[in-house]
Amino acid sequence: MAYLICPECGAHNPLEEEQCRICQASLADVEPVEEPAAPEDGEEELDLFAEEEKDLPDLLQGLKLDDVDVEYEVDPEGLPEINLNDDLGPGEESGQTPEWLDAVRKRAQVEDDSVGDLIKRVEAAKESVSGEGKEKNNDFESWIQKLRDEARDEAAGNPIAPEELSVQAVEPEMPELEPEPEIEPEEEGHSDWLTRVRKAHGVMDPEEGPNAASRSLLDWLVALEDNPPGDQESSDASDETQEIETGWEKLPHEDITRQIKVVLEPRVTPQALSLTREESDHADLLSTIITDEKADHPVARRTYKLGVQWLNMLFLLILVVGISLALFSGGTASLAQPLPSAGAIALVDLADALPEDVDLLLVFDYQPAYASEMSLVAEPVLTGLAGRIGRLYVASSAASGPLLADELLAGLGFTTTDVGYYPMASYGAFGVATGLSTGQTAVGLPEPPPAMLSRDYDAVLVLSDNFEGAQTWIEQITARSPETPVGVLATSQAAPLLQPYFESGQIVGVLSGFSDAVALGDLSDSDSDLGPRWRAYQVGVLILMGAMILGAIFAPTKRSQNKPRGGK
Amino acid sequence: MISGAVIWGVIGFLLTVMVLSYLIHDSVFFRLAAYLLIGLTAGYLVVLLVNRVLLPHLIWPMADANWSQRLWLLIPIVLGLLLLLGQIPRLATLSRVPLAYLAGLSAAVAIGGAVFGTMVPQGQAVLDAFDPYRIYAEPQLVGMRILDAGVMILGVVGTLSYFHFGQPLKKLNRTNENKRPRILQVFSRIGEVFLGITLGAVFAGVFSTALLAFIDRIAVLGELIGQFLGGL
Repeated sequence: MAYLICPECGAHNPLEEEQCRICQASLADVEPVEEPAAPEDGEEELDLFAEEEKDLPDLLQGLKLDDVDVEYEVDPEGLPEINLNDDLGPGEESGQTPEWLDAVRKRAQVEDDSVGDLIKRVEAAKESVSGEGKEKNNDFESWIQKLRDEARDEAAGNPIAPEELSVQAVEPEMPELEPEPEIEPEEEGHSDWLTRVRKAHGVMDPEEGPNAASRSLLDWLVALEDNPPGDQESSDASDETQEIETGWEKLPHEDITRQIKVVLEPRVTPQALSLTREESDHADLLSTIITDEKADHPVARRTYKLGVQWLNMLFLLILVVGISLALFSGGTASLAQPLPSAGAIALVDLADALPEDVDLLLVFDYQPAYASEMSLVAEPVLTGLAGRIGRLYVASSAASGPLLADELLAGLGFTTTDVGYYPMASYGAFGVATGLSTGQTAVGLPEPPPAMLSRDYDAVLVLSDNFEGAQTWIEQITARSPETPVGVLATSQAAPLLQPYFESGQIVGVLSGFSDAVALGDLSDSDSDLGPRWRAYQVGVLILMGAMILGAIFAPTKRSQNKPRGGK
Repeated sequence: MISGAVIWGVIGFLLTVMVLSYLIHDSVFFRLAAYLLIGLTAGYLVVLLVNRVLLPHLIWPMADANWSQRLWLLIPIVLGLLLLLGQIPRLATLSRVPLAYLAGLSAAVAIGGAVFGTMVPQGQAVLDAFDPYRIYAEPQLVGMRILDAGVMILGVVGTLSYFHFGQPLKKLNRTNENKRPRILQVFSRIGEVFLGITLGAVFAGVFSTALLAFIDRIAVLGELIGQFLGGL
């Protein structure tokens, strides 16, 4: 069955029409076109495209799909959106014309100027293209036109079937747009000019190329359907432009070409960012750090409750008054007299056992805040040694050691020799212990200060207010010079952890705390007036015990009840 | 005429009150006392290090020593200069050399002392507690010696079990990796008791020392007030 195709809108018109029934264009010079033969019965139903139509442009294939259930949605903003429904009935009547052609016809019947409207939109979109992309488009356009002219000349003796109309999808960033001069005129079994176009652009044949599917316009249409136009509008800033140029040649001898140029705005597909868990954690950490650095950091101020303040004041007042009364009341009453510890007795025995004219090293390793307690502890031992000390050497591993040594020893009438101040106790202890063990310095080194390394001390007494400082001296001296007796005079807070060194015999004695000092004073019948302080000490201990008991009874227990013990 | 002792006594009294004001509020008086302490300590340390360390151990030997000994003394001088270069951002990496030297030397001294001054002697002491000669040295105290040795070994094993975080045992017991072996759980419970007693003793010692320092302050201030009132 023959028909006439309108040169203006491409609508199919019966042979008897003189004007296009769609656009009213003249059909006087239009030659009739024979419809192609209908596909044979029994053709595979699931294959929507005939074998000879494999190389049809994807757009036409898409139109073919629309043949069954066509739903064109022309986006009012510009770009056409085509919804493809896959409910094509396998045995649907296709008539004598190809399915895609029926789709065009149907569309032409329901729309006034469907193709014309599309062309207008395409042209409007084309005009929006500027710069290099526009030049490329123009070049490509003229080149396509040239190819078509060649194909028309060649088709003068070999008419081209309507189904050989081709569409070539071209991306704007295609490197070469100029046709190669040595294009073969014919290729059997394919659309000739389409093959040349593909070769000229270096695009593989859809049946050969590994990326044939990705170049399918149908895929693009499906993707376009998945991405609403609104999303595409948001990507105006992108430089990527995809241009699909569609060319229709209606008849071999007719110089009629319909070009549907769809200049699409770039379709921006968000890149899938694949992050490992560790990278994600690092990113979160970095984001947190940046946020924290930019945040304001007001100075944290403690908030005080009025009741707590008054409670603190009351406790302080009770403590001060109680201690003051015990100190200055002048009474002699005492709750209990302390007994000396085994370590204190051993240290006193050491002092008694030392020979006359001994060389004694005193190590000062305590802070001024504990000077009072250390004086009370050291006085009984140093007083007992007063008659037997030949030379007294002083080393310090605390910053205030030299001053404290002067204050303590000056009151006892000793003359001392300064061994030195050691900012790091371990180095000083190591040096002294090395001198005790070797008695000499390394060859070639400058001579050390007098009495630093080459002295054979008869005993070493460490005065320390903390366990770590005393431990350092004990470890170094007992490890390198185990025969040198070491005694420790310590505060109460250092005493418990020093007991193992005394029990193991590493140190000959340890005298610690106020209770040992009072006990030794009582044993030695010292004239030091420790009674008032001992009473004040006992009163203070009672007040502190009462405060702790009251606190344990009345303190809020929300934290211990609601929060689990331990860490996470 | 007001003596220097009275002046310093008044200053000490004021500083004591300023520090005790922290019980009521974190006031400017407490901060002033704290800043005063920090500033004086820093200044005192500078003077102390120059007079007690740099001069006697570096400067004076450099002046008195011969050339070979001076070469030895160049080592600490160079290391000290490299440490100072750490304040210049572009040359800060050079300060890593003396810092690495200090870190390595400190670790060597500390580890050597810990092993030969604590671990070996203390382990030997635990073993000596089970020495029969020592146990039966005094026949009337045999029971006490045995009890002492038993408590000692129990405390040692319990404390070590409490701090046992052995990964290899976890791997062996894959069915319940987060749970320690039953025997370790039992001993760690016992270790908790010993640790609690030890920390309690330390806490009591800290309290005792702080209380004695406070008593000393009150005594000094009381004497000062007594002198002041007596002088009037």
